[in-house]
Amino acid sequence: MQAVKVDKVSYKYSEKEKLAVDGVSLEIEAGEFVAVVGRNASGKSTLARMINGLIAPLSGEITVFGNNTLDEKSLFEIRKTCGIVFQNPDNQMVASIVEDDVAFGPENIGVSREEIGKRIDFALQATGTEPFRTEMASKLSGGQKQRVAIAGVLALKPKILILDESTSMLDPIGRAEVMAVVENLRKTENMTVMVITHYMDEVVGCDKVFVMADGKLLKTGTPEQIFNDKELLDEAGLELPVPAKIAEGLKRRGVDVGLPLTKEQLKERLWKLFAKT
Amino acid sequence: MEVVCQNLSYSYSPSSKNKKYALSDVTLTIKEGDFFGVIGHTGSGKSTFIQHLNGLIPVQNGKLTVGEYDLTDKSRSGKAKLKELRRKVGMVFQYPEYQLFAETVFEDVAFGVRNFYKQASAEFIAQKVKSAMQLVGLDFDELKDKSPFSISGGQKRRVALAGVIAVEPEILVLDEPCAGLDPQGKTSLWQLLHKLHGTFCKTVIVVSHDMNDVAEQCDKAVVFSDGKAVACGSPRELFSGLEDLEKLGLESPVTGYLTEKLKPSVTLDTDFTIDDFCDKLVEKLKEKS
Ligand SMILES: Nc1ncnc2c1ncn2[C@@H]1O[C@H](COP(=O)(O)OP(=O)(O)O)[C@@H](O)[C@H]1O
Ligand SMILES: Nc1ncnc2c1ncn2[C@@H]1O[C@H](COP(=O)(O)OP(=O)(O)O)[C@@H](O)[C@H]1O
Ligand SMILES: [Mg+2]
Ligand SMILES: [Mg+2]
Repeated sequence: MQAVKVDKVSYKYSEKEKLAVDGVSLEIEAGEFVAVVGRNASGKSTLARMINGLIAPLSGEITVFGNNTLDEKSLFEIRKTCGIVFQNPDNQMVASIVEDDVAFGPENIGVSREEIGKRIDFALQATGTEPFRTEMASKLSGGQKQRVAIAGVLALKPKILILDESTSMLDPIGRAEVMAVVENLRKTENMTVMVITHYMDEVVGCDKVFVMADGKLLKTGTPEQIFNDKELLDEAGLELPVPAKIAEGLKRRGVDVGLPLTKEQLKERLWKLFAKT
Repeated sequence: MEVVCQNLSYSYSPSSKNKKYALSDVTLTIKEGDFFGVIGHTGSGKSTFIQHLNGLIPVQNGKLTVGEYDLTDKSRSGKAKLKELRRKVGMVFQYPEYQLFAETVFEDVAFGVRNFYKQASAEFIAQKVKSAMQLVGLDFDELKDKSPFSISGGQKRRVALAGVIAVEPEILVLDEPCAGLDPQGKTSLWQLLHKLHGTFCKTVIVVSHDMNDVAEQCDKAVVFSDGKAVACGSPRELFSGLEDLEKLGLESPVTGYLTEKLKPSVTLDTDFTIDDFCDKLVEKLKEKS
Protein backbone atom coordinates (compact mmCIF):
# COMPACT_ATOMS: atom_id res chain seq x y z
CA MET A 1 0.00 0.00 0.00
CA GLN A 2 1.16 3.50 -0.74
CA ALA A 3 1.65 5.66 2.35
CA VAL A 4 2.74 8.95 0.79
CA LYS A 5 2.70 10.28 -2.73
CA VAL A 6 4.24 13.66 -3.47
CA ASP A 7 3.46 14.81 -6.98
CA LYS A 8 5.39 17.72 -8.59
CA VAL A 9 5.20 19.79 -5.43
CA SER A 10 6.63 23.29 -5.01
CA TYR A 11 6.48 25.77 -2.15
CA LYS A 12 7.74 29.22 -1.23
CA TYR A 13 7.40 31.08 2.03
CA SER A 14 6.85 34.50 0.49
CA GLU A 15 6.40 36.11 -2.88
CA LYS A 16 9.91 37.50 -3.23
CA GLU A 17 11.79 34.45 -1.96
CA LYS A 18 12.98 31.57 -4.09
CA LEU A 19 11.27 28.20 -3.98
CA ALA A 20 11.97 26.35 -0.71
CA VAL A 21 10.76 23.13 -2.38
CA ASP A 22 11.02 22.96 -6.12
CA GLY A 23 9.15 20.39 -8.21
CA VAL A 24 9.58 17.38 -5.92
CA SER A 25 7.92 14.03 -6.71
CA LEU A 26 8.38 10.94 -4.56
CA GLU A 27 6.56 7.90 -3.22
CA ILE A 28 6.80 6.04 0.07
CA GLU A 29 5.28 2.59 0.61
CA ALA A 30 3.60 1.64 3.89
CA GLY A 31 6.14 0.11 6.28
CA GLU A 32 9.11 1.60 4.48
CA PHE A 33 11.98 3.27 6.33
CA VAL A 34 13.21 6.26 4.33
CA ALA A 35 15.79 8.96 4.99
CA VAL A 36 15.88 12.53 3.69
CA VAL A 37 19.32 14.13 3.56
CA GLY A 38 20.87 17.35 2.29
CA ARG A 39 22.43 20.62 3.46
CA ASN A 40 20.79 22.95 5.92
CA ALA A 41 18.11 24.97 4.07
CA SER A 42 17.75 22.44 1.24
CA GLY A 43 14.01 22.12 1.87
CA LYS A 44 13.77 18.96 3.99
CA SER A 45 11.64 20.41 6.79
CA THR A 46 9.40 22.27 4.37
CA LEU A 47 8.70 18.99 2.58
CA ALA A 48 7.92 17.27 5.90
CA ARG A 49 5.53 20.05 6.96
CA MET A 50 3.68 19.68 3.67
CA ILE A 51 3.33 15.90 4.03
CA ASN A 52 1.84 16.45 7.47
CA GLY A 53 -0.56 19.07 6.08
CA LEU A 54 0.83 21.91 8.19
CA ILE A 55 1.41 23.94 5.03
CA ALA A 56 -0.19 23.48 1.62
CA PRO A 57 1.77 23.09 -1.61
CA LEU A 58 1.90 26.11 -3.89
CA SER A 59 1.57 23.75 -6.83
CA GLY A 60 1.31 20.00 -7.19
CA GLU A 61 -0.34 17.75 -4.61
CA ILE A 62 0.33 15.30 -1.82
CA THR A 63 -1.71 12.31 -0.73
CA VAL A 64 -1.30 10.49 2.57
CA PHE A 65 -2.91 7.06 2.51
CA GLY A 66 -5.09 8.37 -0.31
CA ASN A 67 -6.13 11.57 1.48
CA ASN A 68 -5.20 14.79 -0.32
CA THR A 69 -3.62 17.41 1.96
CA LEU A 70 -5.38 20.14 -0.05
CA ASP A 71 -8.72 18.74 1.04
CA GLU A 72 -9.65 20.60 4.24
CA LYS A 73 -11.92 17.76 5.35
CA SER A 74 -9.04 15.24 5.31
CA LEU A 75 -6.64 17.35 7.34
CA PHE A 76 -7.67 16.03 10.74
CA GLU A 77 -7.32 12.46 9.49
CA ILE A 78 -3.91 13.23 7.96
CA ARG A 79 -2.52 14.76 11.14
CA LYS A 80 -3.78 11.76 13.09
CA THR A 81 -2.08 9.42 10.64
CA CYS A 82 1.18 11.29 10.32
CA GLY A 83 3.15 12.42 13.39
CA ILE A 84 6.08 14.81 13.18
CA VAL A 85 8.81 15.37 15.77
CA PHE A 86 10.69 18.62 15.19
CA GLN A 87 14.31 19.48 15.81
CA ASN A 88 13.84 21.99 18.60
CA PRO A 89 11.80 20.28 21.35
CA ASP A 90 10.91 23.68 22.85
CA ASN A 91 8.69 24.24 19.82
CA GLN A 92 6.85 21.02 20.53
CA MET A 93 6.22 21.06 24.26
CA VAL A 94 2.75 22.24 25.26
CA ALA A 95 2.30 21.23 28.90
CA SER A 96 4.64 21.92 31.80
CA ILE A 97 4.62 18.40 33.30
CA VAL A 98 6.12 15.61 31.21
CA GLU A 99 3.20 13.15 31.36
CA ASP A 100 0.66 15.89 30.56
CA ASP A 101 2.70 16.84 27.58
CA VAL A 102 2.67 13.28 26.30
CA ALA A 103 -1.10 13.02 26.94
CA PHE A 104 -1.89 16.18 25.01
CA GLY A 105 -1.77 14.64 21.52
CA PRO A 106 -3.98 11.60 22.18
CA GLU A 107 -6.47 13.76 24.15
CA ASN A 108 -6.71 16.05 21.18
CA ILE A 109 -7.59 13.31 18.73
CA GLY A 110 -10.26 11.91 21.03
CA VAL A 111 -8.60 8.79 22.40
CA SER A 112 -10.47 7.27 25.40
CA ARG A 113 -9.14 8.01 28.84
CA GLU A 114 -8.26 4.41 29.60
CA GLU A 115 -6.41 4.02 26.31
CA ILE A 116 -4.53 7.30 26.90
CA GLY A 117 -3.14 5.92 30.16
CA LYS A 118 -1.80 2.87 28.34
CA ARG A 119 -0.30 4.95 25.59
CA ILE A 120 1.49 7.25 28.01
CA ASP A 121 2.98 4.25 29.83
CA PHE A 122 4.11 2.79 26.53
CA ALA A 123 5.56 6.02 25.11
CA LEU A 124 7.45 6.91 28.30
CA GLN A 125 8.87 3.40 28.54
CA ALA A 126 9.86 3.31 24.89
CA THR A 127 11.75 6.59 25.05
CA GLY A 128 13.33 6.04 28.46
CA THR A 129 11.55 9.05 29.97
CA GLU A 130 9.58 7.16 32.65
CA PRO A 131 11.88 8.54 35.43
CA PHE A 132 10.89 12.13 34.54
CA ARG A 133 7.17 11.38 34.31
CA THR A 134 6.04 13.93 36.88
CA GLU A 135 8.84 16.43 36.43
CA MET A 136 8.74 19.88 34.86
CA ALA A 137 9.66 19.56 31.21
CA SER A 138 11.50 22.89 31.35
CA LYS A 139 14.05 21.48 33.82
CA LEU A 140 15.16 18.67 31.55
CA SER A 141 18.29 18.71 29.40
CA GLY A 142 18.01 19.21 25.64
CA GLY A 143 18.41 15.50 24.98
CA GLN A 144 15.83 14.57 27.59
CA LYS A 145 13.35 17.05 26.10
CA GLN A 146 13.88 15.51 22.69
CA ARG A 147 12.99 12.11 24.12
CA VAL A 148 9.79 13.56 25.63
CA ALA A 149 8.90 15.16 22.28
CA ILE A 150 9.29 11.77 20.61
CA ALA A 151 7.16 10.16 23.34
CA GLY A 152 4.42 12.71 22.66
CA VAL A 153 4.23 11.70 19.02
CA LEU A 154 4.54 7.94 19.68
CA ALA A 155 1.50 8.26 21.98
CA LEU A 156 -0.51 9.25 18.90
CA LYS A 157 0.30 5.83 17.43
CA PRO A 158 0.83 7.40 14.02
CA LYS A 159 0.88 5.20 10.92
CA ILE A 160 3.61 7.47 9.60
CA LEU A 161 6.33 8.85 11.84
CA ILE A 162 8.51 11.74 10.66
CA LEU A 163 11.61 12.51 12.74
CA ASP A 164 12.95 15.89 11.64
CA GLU A 165 16.47 16.02 13.13
CA SER A 166 14.78 15.05 16.35
CA THR A 167 17.69 13.19 17.93
CA SER A 168 20.30 15.91 17.35
CA MET A 169 20.90 16.50 21.07
CA LEU A 170 21.23 12.83 22.04
CA ASP A 171 24.52 11.00 22.35
CA PRO A 172 25.22 8.15 19.89
CA ILE A 173 23.97 5.46 22.27
CA GLY A 174 20.85 7.47 23.04
CA ARG A 175 20.22 7.89 19.32
CA ALA A 176 20.65 4.17 18.78
CA GLU A 177 18.16 3.42 21.56
CA VAL A 178 15.52 5.68 20.06
CA MET A 179 16.10 4.28 16.58
CA ALA A 180 15.76 0.72 17.94
CA VAL A 181 12.33 1.59 19.38
CA VAL A 182 11.29 3.09 16.07
CA GLU A 183 12.57 0.07 14.15
CA ASN A 184 10.61 -2.21 16.46
CA LEU A 185 7.38 -0.26 15.87
CA ARG A 186 7.98 -0.44 12.17
CA LYS A 187 8.21 -4.23 12.35
CA THR A 188 5.33 -4.85 14.77
CA GLU A 189 2.91 -2.11 13.67
CA ASN A 190 4.04 -1.71 10.09
CA MET A 191 4.70 1.96 10.87
CA THR A 192 6.13 4.00 8.01
CA VAL A 193 9.20 5.98 9.07
CA MET A 194 10.84 9.02 7.55
CA VAL A 195 14.00 10.35 9.19
CA ILE A 196 15.50 13.69 8.26
CA THR A 197 19.09 13.56 9.44
CA HIS A 198 22.68 14.74 9.14
CA TYR A 199 24.00 11.52 10.68
CA MET A 200 25.15 9.32 7.85
CA ASP A 201 25.16 6.25 10.11
CA GLU A 202 21.37 6.64 10.48
CA VAL A 203 20.98 6.61 6.71
CA VAL A 204 22.85 3.36 6.21
CA GLY A 205 20.13 1.01 7.46
CA CYS A 206 17.17 2.46 5.59
CA ASP A 207 15.31 1.20 2.50
CA LYS A 208 15.41 4.36 0.46
CA VAL A 209 17.24 7.68 0.60
CA PHE A 210 15.98 10.97 -0.82
CA VAL A 211 18.75 13.47 -1.48
CA MET A 212 17.72 17.14 -1.54
CA ALA A 213 19.67 20.20 -2.71
CA ASP A 214 18.32 23.73 -3.21
CA GLY A 215 14.74 22.58 -2.84
CA LYS A 216 15.06 19.92 -5.52
CA LEU A 217 15.10 16.16 -5.17
CA LEU A 218 18.50 15.29 -6.66
CA LYS A 219 18.29 11.53 -6.38
CA THR A 220 16.37 8.64 -4.87
CA GLY A 221 18.29 5.44 -4.19
CA THR A 222 19.43 2.78 -1.77
CA PRO A 223 22.17 3.78 0.69
CA GLU A 224 24.67 1.83 -1.46
CA GLN A 225 23.64 3.74 -4.59
CA ILE A 226 23.84 7.09 -2.82
CA PHE A 227 27.22 6.57 -1.13
CA ASN A 228 28.81 5.20 -4.29
CA ASP A 229 27.93 8.36 -6.20
CA LYS A 230 30.83 10.76 -5.49
CA GLU A 231 29.50 13.61 -7.59
CA LEU A 232 26.15 13.45 -5.84
CA LEU A 233 27.77 13.50 -2.39
CA ASP A 234 29.70 16.64 -3.32
CA GLU A 235 26.73 18.34 -4.89
CA ALA A 236 24.51 17.69 -1.88
CA GLY A 237 27.22 18.37 0.75
CA LEU A 238 27.08 14.84 2.15
CA GLU A 239 29.91 12.77 3.50
CA LEU A 240 30.61 9.05 3.74
CA PRO A 241 29.86 7.15 6.93
CA VAL A 242 33.07 6.65 8.96
CA PRO A 243 33.64 2.97 7.94
CA ALA A 244 33.47 3.99 4.28
CA LYS A 245 35.90 6.86 4.95
CA ILE A 246 38.36 4.35 6.39
CA ALA A 247 37.88 2.11 3.34
CA GLU A 248 38.64 5.11 1.13
CA GLY A 249 41.83 5.76 3.10
CA LEU A 250 42.89 2.16 2.58
CA LYS A 251 42.12 2.37 -1.12
CA ARG A 252 44.39 5.40 -1.47
CA ARG A 253 47.10 3.22 0.03
CA GLY A 254 46.49 0.48 -2.51
CA VAL A 255 44.24 -1.78 -0.42
CA ASP A 256 40.79 -2.31 -1.89
CA VAL A 257 38.04 -3.44 0.49
CA GLY A 258 35.16 -1.98 -1.51
CA LEU A 259 32.86 0.51 0.20
CA PRO A 260 31.50 -1.03 3.42
CA LEU A 261 28.91 1.22 5.06
CA THR A 262 28.90 -0.33 8.54
CA LYS A 263 31.73 -1.10 10.91
CA GLU A 264 30.67 -4.76 11.04
CA GLN A 265 31.00 -5.06 7.26
CA LEU A 266 34.40 -3.41 7.30
CA LYS A 267 35.55 -5.70 10.13
CA GLU A 268 34.57 -8.80 8.10
CA ARG A 269 36.51 -7.54 5.12
CA LEU A 270 39.60 -6.76 7.14
CA TRP A 271 39.48 -10.24 8.70
CA LYS A 272 39.36 -11.78 5.22
CA LEU A 273 42.27 -9.64 4.12
CA PHE A 274 44.48 -10.88 6.95
CA ALA A 275 43.31 -14.46 6.57
CA LYS A 276 44.40 -14.44 2.93
CA THR A 277 47.94 -13.22 3.48
CA MET B 1 46.50 30.00 31.25
CA GLU B 2 46.22 26.59 32.82
CA VAL B 3 42.99 25.19 34.25
CA VAL B 4 43.55 23.36 37.52
CA CYS B 5 40.66 21.73 39.21
CA GLN B 6 40.93 19.89 42.53
CA ASN B 7 38.21 17.81 44.17
CA LEU B 8 35.52 19.91 42.55
CA SER B 9 31.97 18.87 43.47
CA TYR B 10 28.65 20.48 42.67
CA SER B 11 25.01 19.80 43.41
CA TYR B 12 22.03 21.66 41.92
CA SER B 13 20.07 20.89 45.07
CA PRO B 14 22.65 21.37 47.83
CA SER B 15 20.13 21.64 50.66
CA SER B 16 17.93 18.70 49.75
CA LYS B 17 18.04 15.57 51.94
CA ASN B 18 19.15 13.06 49.35
CA LYS B 19 21.17 15.47 47.29
CA LYS B 20 22.55 14.34 43.96
CA TYR B 21 25.91 15.45 42.67
CA ALA B 22 26.17 16.76 39.12
CA LEU B 23 29.95 16.90 39.65
CA SER B 24 31.72 14.81 42.19
CA ASP B 25 35.34 15.07 43.27
CA VAL B 26 36.73 16.15 39.92
CA THR B 27 40.49 16.62 39.77
CA LEU B 28 42.12 17.46 36.46
CA THR B 29 44.44 19.88 34.67
CA ILE B 30 43.99 21.40 31.24
CA LYS B 31 47.29 22.79 29.97
CA GLU B 32 47.68 25.98 27.98
CA GLY B 33 47.76 25.01 24.31
CA ASP B 34 45.62 21.89 24.62
CA PHE B 35 42.88 21.10 22.15
CA PHE B 36 40.87 19.38 24.82
CA GLY B 37 37.76 17.19 24.50
CA VAL B 38 35.11 16.73 27.19
CA ILE B 39 33.16 13.53 26.68
CA GLY B 40 30.58 11.44 28.49
CA HIS B 41 27.00 10.30 28.08
CA THR B 42 24.04 12.69 28.44
CA GLY B 43 23.69 13.88 32.02
CA SER B 44 27.24 12.94 33.02
CA GLY B 45 28.14 16.50 34.06
CA LYS B 46 29.92 17.93 31.00
CA SER B 47 27.93 21.16 30.81
CA THR B 48 28.06 21.65 34.57
CA PHE B 49 31.84 21.26 34.47
CA ILE B 50 32.51 23.73 31.66
CA GLN B 51 30.21 26.36 33.17
CA HIS B 52 32.53 26.41 36.18
CA LEU B 53 35.42 27.56 34.00
CA ASN B 54 34.23 31.16 33.70
CA GLY B 55 32.43 31.33 36.99
CA LEU B 56 28.95 30.96 35.55
CA ILE B 57 28.43 28.24 38.12
CA PRO B 58 30.14 29.20 41.40
CA VAL B 59 32.44 26.72 43.08
CA GLN B 60 30.59 24.90 45.88
CA ASN B 61 33.25 22.46 46.95
CA GLY B 62 36.88 21.98 46.03
CA LYS B 63 39.34 24.25 44.25
CA LEU B 64 39.46 25.75 40.77
CA THR B 65 42.04 28.09 39.30
CA VAL B 66 42.22 29.37 35.74
CA GLY B 67 45.62 30.96 35.18
CA GLU B 68 46.09 33.46 37.98
CA TYR B 69 42.37 33.58 38.77
CA ASP B 70 41.20 31.74 41.83
CA LEU B 71 37.52 30.93 41.35
CA THR B 72 37.22 29.88 44.97
CA ASP B 73 38.05 33.43 46.09
CA LYS B 74 34.71 34.86 47.22
CA SER B 75 36.20 38.16 48.46
CA ARG B 76 35.36 41.47 46.83
CA SER B 77 38.60 41.60 44.86
CA GLY B 78 38.02 38.02 43.74
CA LYS B 79 34.62 39.02 42.37
CA ALA B 80 36.06 42.03 40.56
CA LYS B 81 38.47 39.73 38.81
CA LEU B 82 35.64 37.52 37.62
CA LYS B 83 34.76 39.98 34.90
CA GLU B 84 38.33 39.97 33.67
CA LEU B 85 38.25 36.19 33.65
CA ARG B 86 35.03 36.13 31.64
CA ARG B 87 36.75 38.05 28.88
CA LYS B 88 39.60 35.57 28.84
CA VAL B 89 37.41 32.48 28.89
CA GLY B 90 34.95 32.60 26.00
CA MET B 91 31.92 30.34 26.31
CA VAL B 92 29.84 29.12 23.37
CA PHE B 93 26.69 27.36 24.56
CA GLN B 94 24.74 24.57 22.90
CA TYR B 95 22.69 25.84 19.95
CA PRO B 96 24.03 29.37 20.55
CA GLU B 97 21.97 30.67 17.63
CA TYR B 98 18.82 30.28 19.74
CA GLN B 99 20.21 33.13 21.86
CA LEU B 100 20.81 35.71 19.14
CA PHE B 101 18.70 38.74 19.93
CA ALA B 102 19.95 41.97 18.33
CA GLU B 103 18.44 43.68 15.31
CA THR B 104 21.55 43.34 13.19
CA VAL B 105 24.39 40.88 12.91
CA PHE B 106 26.78 43.74 13.75
CA GLU B 107 25.04 44.49 17.04
CA ASP B 108 24.96 40.84 18.02
CA VAL B 109 28.69 40.39 17.47
CA ALA B 110 29.43 43.76 19.14
CA PHE B 111 27.51 42.96 22.32
CA GLY B 112 30.41 41.34 24.16
CA VAL B 113 32.90 43.97 23.05
CA ARG B 114 30.68 46.77 24.34
CA ASN B 115 30.18 44.90 27.56
CA PHE B 116 33.87 44.30 28.27
CA TYR B 117 35.27 47.62 26.96
CA LYS B 118 32.89 50.18 28.41
CA GLN B 119 34.74 53.24 27.11
CA ALA B 120 35.54 51.85 23.67
CA SER B 121 35.29 54.10 20.62
CA ALA B 122 33.02 53.25 17.72
CA GLU B 123 36.08 52.55 15.55
CA PHE B 124 37.53 50.18 18.11
CA ILE B 125 34.28 48.23 18.27
CA ALA B 126 33.84 48.14 14.51
CA GLN B 127 37.37 46.89 14.08
CA LYS B 128 36.89 44.08 16.62
CA VAL B 129 33.58 43.05 15.06
CA LYS B 130 35.04 43.07 11.58
CA SER B 131 38.05 40.97 12.41
CA ALA B 132 35.96 38.47 14.41
CA MET B 133 33.56 38.06 11.50
CA GLN B 134 36.45 37.60 9.11
CA LEU B 135 38.01 34.97 11.37
CA VAL B 136 34.86 32.86 11.42
CA GLY B 137 34.40 33.25 7.67
CA LEU B 138 31.50 35.71 7.52
CA ASP B 139 31.44 38.51 4.96
CA PHE B 140 31.34 41.72 7.04
CA ASP B 141 29.95 44.08 4.39
CA GLU B 142 27.34 41.65 3.16
CA LEU B 143 26.01 40.61 6.56
CA LYS B 144 26.59 43.38 9.09
CA ASP B 145 23.24 45.10 8.58
CA LYS B 146 21.16 41.98 8.12
CA SER B 147 18.86 40.64 10.80
CA PRO B 148 20.42 37.57 12.44
CA PHE B 149 17.07 35.86 11.92
CA SER B 150 17.19 36.18 8.16
CA ILE B 151 20.42 34.23 7.66
CA SER B 152 20.98 30.47 7.46
CA GLY B 153 21.45 28.18 10.46
CA GLY B 154 25.15 27.60 9.80
CA GLN B 155 25.75 31.35 9.48
CA LYS B 156 23.82 32.04 12.68
CA ARG B 157 26.09 29.70 14.58
CA ARG B 158 29.11 31.56 13.20
CA VAL B 159 27.60 34.89 14.26
CA ALA B 160 27.24 33.55 17.80
CA LEU B 161 30.83 32.31 17.71
CA ALA B 162 32.09 35.65 16.34
CA GLY B 163 30.43 37.43 19.27
CA VAL B 164 32.43 35.30 21.70
CA ILE B 165 35.81 35.56 19.98
CA ALA B 166 35.50 39.30 19.30
CA VAL B 167 36.96 39.97 22.76
CA GLU B 168 39.87 37.64 21.97
CA PRO B 169 39.55 35.06 24.73
CA GLU B 170 42.62 32.97 25.56
CA ILE B 171 40.51 29.94 26.30
CA LEU B 172 37.57 29.06 24.09
CA VAL B 173 35.00 26.65 25.52
CA LEU B 174 32.28 25.17 23.29
CA ASP B 175 29.36 22.96 24.31
CA GLU B 176 28.57 20.50 21.50
CA PRO B 177 29.30 23.00 18.76
CA CYS B 178 28.58 20.54 15.93
CA ALA B 179 25.06 19.51 16.99
CA GLY B 180 22.60 20.08 14.16
CA LEU B 181 25.15 21.09 11.55
CA ASP B 182 25.21 19.37 8.16
CA PRO B 183 28.34 17.31 7.31
CA GLN B 184 30.08 20.14 5.46
CA GLY B 185 29.18 22.63 8.17
CA LYS B 186 30.70 20.25 10.72
CA THR B 187 33.92 19.78 8.78
CA SER B 188 34.40 23.49 8.30
CA LEU B 189 33.64 24.21 11.96
CA TRP B 190 36.42 21.84 13.06
CA GLN B 191 38.77 23.53 10.60
CA LEU B 192 37.79 26.89 12.02
CA LEU B 193 38.44 25.76 15.59
CA HIS B 194 41.91 24.54 14.65
CA LYS B 195 42.58 27.85 12.91
CA LEU B 196 41.51 29.79 16.01
CA HIS B 197 43.65 27.52 18.15
CA GLY B 198 46.71 29.04 16.48
CA THR B 199 45.75 32.64 17.34
CA PHE B 200 45.03 34.57 20.56
CA CYS B 201 42.96 31.61 21.52
CA LYS B 202 45.55 29.31 23.01
CA THR B 203 43.38 26.61 24.49
CA VAL B 204 40.23 25.08 23.01
CA ILE B 205 37.93 23.02 25.21
CA VAL B 206 35.13 21.28 23.38
CA VAL B 207 32.28 19.07 24.55
CA SER B 208 31.53 16.36 22.02
CA HIS B 209 29.41 13.23 21.75
CA ASP B 210 31.17 11.84 18.79
CA MET B 211 34.18 9.68 19.60
CA ASN B 212 35.19 9.65 15.93
CA ASP B 213 35.53 13.42 16.11
CA VAL B 214 37.42 13.28 19.40
CA ALA B 215 39.88 10.73 17.97
CA GLU B 216 40.36 12.85 14.88
CA GLN B 217 40.46 16.35 16.38
CA CYS B 218 41.55 16.43 20.04
CA ASP B 219 45.01 16.11 21.66
CA LYS B 220 43.51 15.09 24.96
CA ALA B 221 40.13 14.45 26.52
CA VAL B 222 38.46 13.81 29.84
CA VAL B 223 35.66 11.28 30.22
CA PHE B 224 32.82 12.08 32.60
CA SER B 225 30.51 9.50 34.08
CA ASP B 226 27.96 10.26 36.79
CA GLY B 227 29.70 13.53 37.59
CA LYS B 228 33.11 11.93 38.01
CA ALA B 229 36.13 12.43 35.77
CA VAL B 230 36.84 8.74 35.25
CA ALA B 231 39.60 8.95 32.64
CA CYS B 232 41.80 11.60 31.10
CA GLY B 233 44.45 11.34 28.42
CA SER B 234 45.27 11.37 24.73
CA PRO B 235 42.94 9.55 22.31
CA ARG B 236 45.68 6.93 22.06
CA GLU B 237 45.46 6.30 25.80
CA LEU B 238 41.68 6.60 26.12
CA PHE B 239 40.69 4.41 23.21
CA SER B 240 43.17 1.66 24.04
CA GLY B 241 41.03 0.74 27.04
CA LEU B 242 37.85 0.42 25.05
CA GLU B 243 36.00 -2.04 27.26
CA ASP B 244 36.15 0.47 30.08
CA LEU B 245 34.72 3.17 27.84
CA GLU B 246 31.88 0.99 26.66
CA LYS B 247 30.98 0.14 30.23
CA LEU B 248 30.49 3.87 30.72
CA GLY B 249 27.90 3.94 27.96
CA LEU B 250 30.17 5.47 25.35
CA GLU B 251 30.52 4.30 21.80
CA SER B 252 34.08 3.76 20.60
CA PRO B 253 35.45 5.41 17.47
CA VAL B 254 35.24 3.09 14.46
CA THR B 255 39.05 2.89 14.32
CA GLY B 256 39.04 1.75 17.96
CA TYR B 257 36.37 -0.86 17.30
CA LEU B 258 38.34 -2.29 14.38
CA THR B 259 41.64 -2.28 16.28
CA GLU B 260 39.94 -4.26 19.03
CA LYS B 261 38.34 -6.74 16.62
CA LEU B 262 41.61 -7.43 14.81
CA LYS B 263 43.25 -8.61 18.04
CA PRO B 264 44.96 -10.87 18.90
CA SER B 265 46.24 -11.88 15.47
CA VAL B 266 46.86 -8.27 14.45
CA THR B 267 47.88 -5.60 16.94
CA LEU B 268 47.94 -2.01 15.74
CA ASP B 269 49.74 0.73 17.61
CA THR B 270 47.65 3.66 16.40
CA ASP B 271 46.52 7.08 17.64
CA PHE B 272 43.05 6.20 16.25
CA THR B 273 42.89 8.90 13.59
CA ILE B 274 41.72 7.47 10.26
CA ASP B 275 44.99 8.33 8.52
CA ASP B 276 47.20 6.76 11.14
CA PHE B 277 44.94 3.71 11.40
CA CYS B 278 45.17 3.15 7.63
CA ASP B 279 48.96 3.62 7.66
CA LYS B 280 49.44 1.08 10.45
CA LEU B 281 47.05 -1.40 8.90
CA VAL B 282 48.77 -1.29 5.53
CA GLU B 283 52.15 -1.73 7.28
CA LYS B 284 50.88 -4.89 8.97
CA LEU B 285 49.56 -6.23 5.69
CA LYS B 286 52.97 -5.74 4.07
CA GLU B 287 54.72 -7.43 6.99
CA LYS B 288 52.44 -10.44 6.64
CA SER B 289 52.84 -10.97 2.92
N1 LIG C 1 9.32 29.67 8.47
C1 LIG C 1 10.04 30.08 7.41
N2 LIG C 1 9.87 31.32 6.90
C2 LIG C 1 10.56 31.75 5.83
N3 LIG C 1 11.48 30.99 5.18
C3 LIG C 1 11.68 29.74 5.63
C4 LIG C 1 10.98 29.22 6.78
N4 LIG C 1 11.40 27.95 6.99
C5 LIG C 1 12.31 27.69 6.04
N5 LIG C 1 12.49 28.76 5.22
C6 LIG C 1 13.40 28.81 4.06
O1 LIG C 1 13.06 27.76 3.18
C7 LIG C 1 14.22 27.12 2.68
C8 LIG C 1 14.19 25.64 3.02
O2 LIG C 1 14.27 25.52 4.44
P1 LIG C 1 14.00 24.19 5.24
O3 LIG C 1 12.87 23.46 4.63
O4 LIG C 1 13.91 24.54 6.66
O5 LIG C 1 15.36 23.39 4.95
P2 LIG C 1 16.07 22.20 5.76
O6 LIG C 1 15.05 21.56 6.63
O7 LIG C 1 16.60 21.32 4.68
O8 LIG C 1 17.19 22.83 6.55
C9 LIG C 1 15.40 27.87 3.26
O9 LIG C 1 15.87 28.80 2.31
C10 LIG C 1 14.82 28.55 4.48
O10 LIG C 1 15.52 29.74 4.77
N1 LIG D 1 19.64 23.52 35.85
C1 LIG D 1 19.63 22.30 36.41
N2 LIG D 1 18.85 22.02 37.49
C2 LIG D 1 18.85 20.81 38.06
N3 LIG D 1 19.59 19.77 37.66
C3 LIG D 1 20.38 19.97 36.59
C4 LIG D 1 20.45 21.23 35.91
N4 LIG D 1 21.32 21.12 34.87
C5 LIG D 1 21.78 19.85 34.92
N5 LIG D 1 21.22 19.16 35.93
C6 LIG D 1 21.50 17.74 36.28
O1 LIG D 1 22.88 17.61 36.54
C7 LIG D 1 23.42 16.43 35.95
C8 LIG D 1 24.53 16.78 34.96
O2 LIG D 1 23.97 17.51 33.89
P1 LIG D 1 24.81 18.20 32.74
O3 LIG D 1 25.99 18.85 33.34
O4 LIG D 1 23.86 19.03 31.95
O5 LIG D 1 25.27 16.92 31.89
P2 LIG D 1 25.75 16.79 30.37
O6 LIG D 1 26.12 18.14 29.87
O7 LIG D 1 26.89 15.82 30.44
O8 LIG D 1 24.59 16.19 29.61
C9 LIG D 1 22.23 15.72 35.31
O9 LIG D 1 21.77 14.74 36.20
C10 LIG D 1 21.22 16.82 35.11
O10 LIG D 1 19.90 16.31 35.14
MG1 LIG E 1 15.14 21.36 8.78
MG1 LIG F 1 25.36 19.17 28.22
